[in-house]
Amino acid sequence: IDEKVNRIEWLNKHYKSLLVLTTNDKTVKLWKIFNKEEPKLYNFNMDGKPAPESINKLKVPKHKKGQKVLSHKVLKVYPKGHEHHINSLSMSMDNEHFLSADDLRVNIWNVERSDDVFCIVDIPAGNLEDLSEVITSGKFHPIDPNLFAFSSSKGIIKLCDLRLNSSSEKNCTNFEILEDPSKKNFFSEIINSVSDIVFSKNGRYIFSRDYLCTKIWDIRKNKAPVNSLRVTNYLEKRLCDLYESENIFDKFELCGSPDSNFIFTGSYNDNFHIIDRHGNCNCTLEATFNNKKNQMIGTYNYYADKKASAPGNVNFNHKILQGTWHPTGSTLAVANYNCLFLFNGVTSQMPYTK
Amino acid sequence: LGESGLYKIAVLIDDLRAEESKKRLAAVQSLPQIAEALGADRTRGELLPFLLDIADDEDEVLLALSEQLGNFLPFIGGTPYAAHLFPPLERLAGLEEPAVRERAIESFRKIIDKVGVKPVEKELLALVKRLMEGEVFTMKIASLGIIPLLYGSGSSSAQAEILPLYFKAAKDEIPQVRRIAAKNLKDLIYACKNVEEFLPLFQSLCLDEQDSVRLMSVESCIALSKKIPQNKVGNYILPFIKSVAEDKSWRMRYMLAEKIVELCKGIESSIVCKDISNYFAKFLQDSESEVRAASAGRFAEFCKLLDLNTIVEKLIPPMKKLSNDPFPFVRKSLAENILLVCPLIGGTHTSQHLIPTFLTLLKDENSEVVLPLFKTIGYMNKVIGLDSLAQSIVPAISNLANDKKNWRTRLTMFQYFPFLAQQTEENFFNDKFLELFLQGLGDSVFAIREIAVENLMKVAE
Repeated sequence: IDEKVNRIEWLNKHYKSLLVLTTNDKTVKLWKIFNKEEPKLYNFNMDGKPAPESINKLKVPKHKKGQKVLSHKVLKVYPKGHEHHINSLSMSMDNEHFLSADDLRVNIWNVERSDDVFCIVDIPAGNLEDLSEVITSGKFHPIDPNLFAFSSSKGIIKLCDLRLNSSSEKNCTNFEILEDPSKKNFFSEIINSVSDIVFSKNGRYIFSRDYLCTKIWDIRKNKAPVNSLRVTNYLEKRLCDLYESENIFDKFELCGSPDSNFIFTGSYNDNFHIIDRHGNCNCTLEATFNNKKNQMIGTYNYYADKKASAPGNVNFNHKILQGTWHPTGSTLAVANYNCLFLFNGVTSQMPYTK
Repeated sequence: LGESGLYKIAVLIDDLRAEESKKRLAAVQSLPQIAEALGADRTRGELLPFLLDIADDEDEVLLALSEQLGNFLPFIGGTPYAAHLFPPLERLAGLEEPAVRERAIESFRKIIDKVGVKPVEKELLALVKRLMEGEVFTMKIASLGIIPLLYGSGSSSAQAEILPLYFKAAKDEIPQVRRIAAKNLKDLIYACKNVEEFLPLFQSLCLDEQDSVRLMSVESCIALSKKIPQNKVGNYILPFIKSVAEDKSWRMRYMLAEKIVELCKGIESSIVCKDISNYFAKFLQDSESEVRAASAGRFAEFCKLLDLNTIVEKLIPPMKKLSNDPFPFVRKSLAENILLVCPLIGGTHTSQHLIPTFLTLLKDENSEVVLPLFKTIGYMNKVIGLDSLAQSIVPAISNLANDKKNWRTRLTMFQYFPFLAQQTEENFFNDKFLELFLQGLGDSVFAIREIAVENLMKVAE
């Protein structure tokens, strides 16, 4: 099993210490990060001296307040839930349950119990070679503890209600665009595969990312997305090359802004995009070392403006796959190379109309 | 204490703070010896304050400590000093790890059981208040766990101070706190003198938006039903049952199906027959398989509360459909229960309604569904006698006893032979089954031969 962490998920702030769930390919762990006091102990019995001669000489150690040291420890390990690689971890707002998802299964755990897991979605494996549909991402709804959604490689997002049945494969609402079969080409299935989904903070929308676009779905309307917005304007024509270089399989993630109006997602060329939910504007920004402090390099592209130009040389090795918005503030963290770039106030200047 | 004993105690004391957790654990488990060596005064004055500070330790050590403190009364000088044990236990009860919290509260219970509430009421009350104001929500949960221990035997002024605290916690913004308030409500209800005080709280918890909180209110309802006067049942208990039976969440319906018999014990029979049986009939046909299985599992027990008419008209029809349920575990649940109803409905109805279902189950392709039928076959035998059914039963049993594919099926069948022998007449058994049974003694699988030999004596009786 690879020594890498696939996902981390913070628990709610109601605990005194910081609690975080992490997972590698197979096992989820719960960690506690806390300030540990290292007290100074003295008055021991056997500190290099001979044993006490009588009962009255028995000493009980005492302690003095010591330094506080930042420490961590593993509180719980949740083993044996998954046969395939875990790709998602998501905490429920009830603060008691979380879900973990791999290619074929979504499990729901109780944070306090590592011996019991509830498998809510189980796609029958059949022949591993013939797998036609795998789960790509799973998330709990941010407000309603009964709802969760998961996405598949076939471009379908399924919204499930835990109250309806003890198993959710058949009782979910499917969000998918039913494509005209005549328009399908060799690449359709690959580029339609949803690489990530996220609920908007206000719980009303699901933002999804596939290779070319980000789609905004209203959870009350599953027949068609509210918007389907291109992230970049140069990929469609190069699908063949991208297939050869295997870049077509890159999995971009996305993250919604705290006010639910903007979506962050990454792409190539050291670029990341802030797209507004209403589909007016796509702000392309760079995360490179050329940026001087307090300066953001980028361009605004308006979707209405059909004349948007494509860059000449695109560096497909410089891709930004991950980033996270602060849960309430305006800071955005973007991962590029082996660095973390922090941006402040990315949306404050964006043209945005309600 | 001799010199070596003294040495051992000295090492143990130091080990309470050893680097390795194994040594600390061993030291904690030897606390009684340490306390005895130090004597009651020093234990109270020096050891307990020291223990207060190891509350940042590994869970194993903390669990052991919580347990030891529950039995520590004799080592600190007995009842008059009981309150000295509270500070370390208070610290442990408020921790984040649920197992440690629960053990600490259990130790509180042990101490209060031995000492009674009166000698320690003042300290307990202060403790409960402190925990309720705690900075971490787990402290509130600990307080909610200790309040029921104090409430029942507490003075009326203590009770008057505690209840508002409890009611406030039941409205806390954190769902886990509300859930524990809902869970422990039944203890308060059992201990209280005036049930009416708790009705508003009960009702608001029933409407909580979190499933996990509402689920707990089923137990509270059971407690209420036992203490509430009959004329109020219609106002409080029945609406609750209706809302849970129609709840969108299957877990609520499942919980109700599981507990419905206990709940109905506090309700008049006529109301059960008239109203509640309708809900039970719906559960048998619920869209969620777990609910169907749970209600099938309680079928016989529930029928005991009903009159004949209600059983036959309302419950038997949906029950029949379960024999064709798509899920084996639902059918199995039915098979385990169906024959227990025979004595309740008498011979004619058994022949008319139960036999067809019985025969369908007998032919089920899943042996786990068929086997339970034989465990309870005696109930049917008492009512109608098995001769008429021998033609169906004998081949079924012989198929199971001779199952070539799965030896475990044969094993279970042989385990049930003594039941068969017990519940049927001697002639019947000897005639039809004896030979089959004796064949088991020669089975190729060891486990089966073993069971056959064990049961030989039982069958012979």
